[in-house]
Amino acid sequence: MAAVELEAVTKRFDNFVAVDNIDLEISDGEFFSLLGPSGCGKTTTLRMIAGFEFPTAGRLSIGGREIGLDPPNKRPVNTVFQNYALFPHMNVLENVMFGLLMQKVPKDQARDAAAKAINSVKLEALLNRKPNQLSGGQQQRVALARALVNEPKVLLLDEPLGALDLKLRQEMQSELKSLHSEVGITFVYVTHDQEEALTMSDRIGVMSEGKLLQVDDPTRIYEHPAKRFVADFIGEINLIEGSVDSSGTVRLGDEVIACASPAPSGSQSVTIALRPESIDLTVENERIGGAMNQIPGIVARRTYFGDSHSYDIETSGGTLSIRRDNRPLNTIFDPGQPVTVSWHPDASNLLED
Amino acid sequence: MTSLDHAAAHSQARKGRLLATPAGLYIVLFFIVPLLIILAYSFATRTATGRTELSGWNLESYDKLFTGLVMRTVWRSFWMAAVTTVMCLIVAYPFAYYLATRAAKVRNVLLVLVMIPFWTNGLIRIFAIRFMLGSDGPISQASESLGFGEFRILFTPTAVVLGMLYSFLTFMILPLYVAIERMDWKLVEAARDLYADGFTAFRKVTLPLTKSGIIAGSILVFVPSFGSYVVPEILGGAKTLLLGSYIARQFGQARNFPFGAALSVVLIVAMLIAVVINQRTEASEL
Amino acid sequence: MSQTLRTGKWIDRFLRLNAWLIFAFFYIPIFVLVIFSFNGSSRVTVWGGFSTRWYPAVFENQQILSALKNSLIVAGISTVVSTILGTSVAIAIDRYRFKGRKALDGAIYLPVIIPDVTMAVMMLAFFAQVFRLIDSFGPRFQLGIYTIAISHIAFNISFVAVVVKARLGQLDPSLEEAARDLYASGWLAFRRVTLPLILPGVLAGALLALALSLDDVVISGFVNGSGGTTLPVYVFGAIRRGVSPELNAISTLMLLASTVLVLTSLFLQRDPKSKQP
Repeated sequence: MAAVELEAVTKRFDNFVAVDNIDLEISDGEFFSLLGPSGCGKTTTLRMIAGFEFPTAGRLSIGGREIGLDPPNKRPVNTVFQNYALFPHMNVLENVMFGLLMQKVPKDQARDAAAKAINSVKLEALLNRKPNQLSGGQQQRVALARALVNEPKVLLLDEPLGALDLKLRQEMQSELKSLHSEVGITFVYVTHDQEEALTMSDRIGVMSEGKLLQVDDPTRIYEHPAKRFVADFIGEINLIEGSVDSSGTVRLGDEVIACASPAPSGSQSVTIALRPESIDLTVENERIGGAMNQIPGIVARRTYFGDSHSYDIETSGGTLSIRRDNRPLNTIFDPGQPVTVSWHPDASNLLED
Repeated sequence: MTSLDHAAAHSQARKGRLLATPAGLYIVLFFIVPLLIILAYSFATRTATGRTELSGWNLESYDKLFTGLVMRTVWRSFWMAAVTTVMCLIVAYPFAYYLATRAAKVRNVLLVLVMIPFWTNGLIRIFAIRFMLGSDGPISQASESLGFGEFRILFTPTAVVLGMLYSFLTFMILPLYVAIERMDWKLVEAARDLYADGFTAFRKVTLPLTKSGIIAGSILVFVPSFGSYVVPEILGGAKTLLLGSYIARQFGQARNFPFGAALSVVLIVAMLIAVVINQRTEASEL
Repeated sequence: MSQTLRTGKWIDRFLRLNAWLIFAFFYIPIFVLVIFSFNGSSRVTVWGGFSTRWYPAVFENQQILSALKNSLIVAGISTVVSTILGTSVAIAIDRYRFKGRKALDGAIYLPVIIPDVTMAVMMLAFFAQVFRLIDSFGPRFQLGIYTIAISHIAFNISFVAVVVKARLGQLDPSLEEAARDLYASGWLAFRRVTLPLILPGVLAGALLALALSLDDVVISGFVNGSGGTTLPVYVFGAIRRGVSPELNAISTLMLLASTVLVLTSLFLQRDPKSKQP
């Protein structure tokens, strides 16, 4: 059963379309991320699920029940806010107890449950602290405990790690992931950080300008992006224009290349997406076996990155950026040197705009 | 079928209206309606017995505005309010600048010291000035014992301006302080880095960036000074009749409400112009 | 932050001198007034030794006592009413979108900036007109302390609303959303989260209203009728008759009262973020 289901959901603010006709099903127990740049509509989508905004059109169901105009307090979801939104006039325990008390759970029971939740995020020593006496990471944990103690059907997280520094963020990422498998609650996670989405999620929905462009697991999102925007937004990528003839053969400059999927019929040009690290570089005319695509090129520029080198290679089809790890036996190429560029057909994806 | 967000916005709007209605109604009934009544009075007729008849609408009261005595009074009020405003600006700007550049702890103490006289009873503060300036007051006594003779300033325009300065100076200090305090000092540093000397950096960067404070403060000083009543009544003499007292007189001994109302419209117009100027500058800063 | 980069040495000296002169200007007249309220001589300006003789006289003056009573009644009523109305309208403007919101937001500032005299004659004309209307139906009304209270509420609503709005502006709107998200109804979210957090602002607004009401002389003087004399109106009349040692004593007491109000208000309006554990 779907934990959250959006059917043709649109949200308009005056004349601005924030969310544009989205269909989405998030399954029970899933860690689902909404990924996109700021202003893409991901937070608005989350706020509609939470009940802070209401759709202009379409239907929204939680746990199989259409929720319509239910206010936030009548929805089986809880939110971890971007800035945590901890109540500054209450201590940690009171913050975590708040939701239970509002649901008329007896005070003793609420206290026990809250204490347990606080234990599970390792803050038992700070029960009586006020939020402004906590570090960012600690506030983050209180926000998590405050939401999870209510055992919601769905936990909504709005860029919860955005305010933390890199090291703490990485720590919290793995903690969130293990917390998710422990509690078995559906997580809907909004982020603009592609790495966060790739490392944590079961599935990712990539959004841009209110539209949901692709929903897939992290591997497919990264390795087989369906749209130009998805490919460009996530990681580094070469986007090059190829030509298609009437037989459906794809050419990059003068060279015929094989791709992961056939070119759409009737098109004369296609965008080919190639990750820099999936391309291999060898000396000129050194042919490698297998069904690899191979085209000649000349080194235009080399940049040192410590663990790797990046090369710009000029080919008849355009300039390709290539990333090579620095291993002891790897050849280093010099600018001006003729080389052969090769990659597996599966690594070259044809994109829709 | 109305969409969900329309329905939600609708119920929000209903709650908002419910909360706003009591105060809104109160302000309409006990502020906007009185404002309109004054407007109506200014076109009304005064009977021989001093009653105001809301009929026979005419512009007589406005005609009277252009007689010599009235023009002189309005001009005097305007001029004294302008002098007060400029003097407030001249002393308050360096003061606000001083406040804003102190360390946080010192600044908070100084702010409290500014706020105390601001909140203390205004009438009493003017009385204190009256007491100081009196012909046998402390200043005069000191001056006499030093052989400079009696200190005669009370009941002169100077005393009135001094009193208005005393009453309204804080209205100038606070907005200036807020404007200077929230200014990004890096911009001044950038100007210095780009070869501006201290004075040029101040003139080209600090001053324009604190314009909103200058305008807000000037309005907050000018409007109440222009219509001030208590200060000239206590510190002014027969030769310093100001608009505020003149209006009060029409509603008092003179019993000429329509004329008093027309005089009030002058003040109301000045106030509205000030509000519009303030909103324009605020809007242009966003 | 280095002071030296912002201001040179001489400029800094000038700024400091200017600041001390302003503080002197603010405080010396008040201190002199207070000192002379303890003057034993009945000639106001001639020092005749320390004495507290003028203070008992203040409390034996029936006119002063009745004026004080009137002032307290008016201030009490206008503070309570304007705090409730001003707070709710501030919340409405800050948190809700409805038709007429912008107009209301603009109108709410007018009573703040309008000169006292204008407001006073407006209210006088208004009551004159309303009484004429009511009189034609039979009952007769007269100006009194209730007309003062009505007028004070009219401007105090605005002052309270402005102060509370400033406080609401500092409040993270997601706090109320968090409360709703944690199963609080709209009322409970307000009661348990928003209200406690804006309470300092509400109290500060109430104190401002109280101070303004106790301070007002012009409007009260116009709409008081007979028997509705408030303390400032009495004092204003007395000042116009000339200075007297008794007047210095009342003034000192009033200064004391308003200073207590200010300090309380400033204490309440401290930035919540700067509050240390």
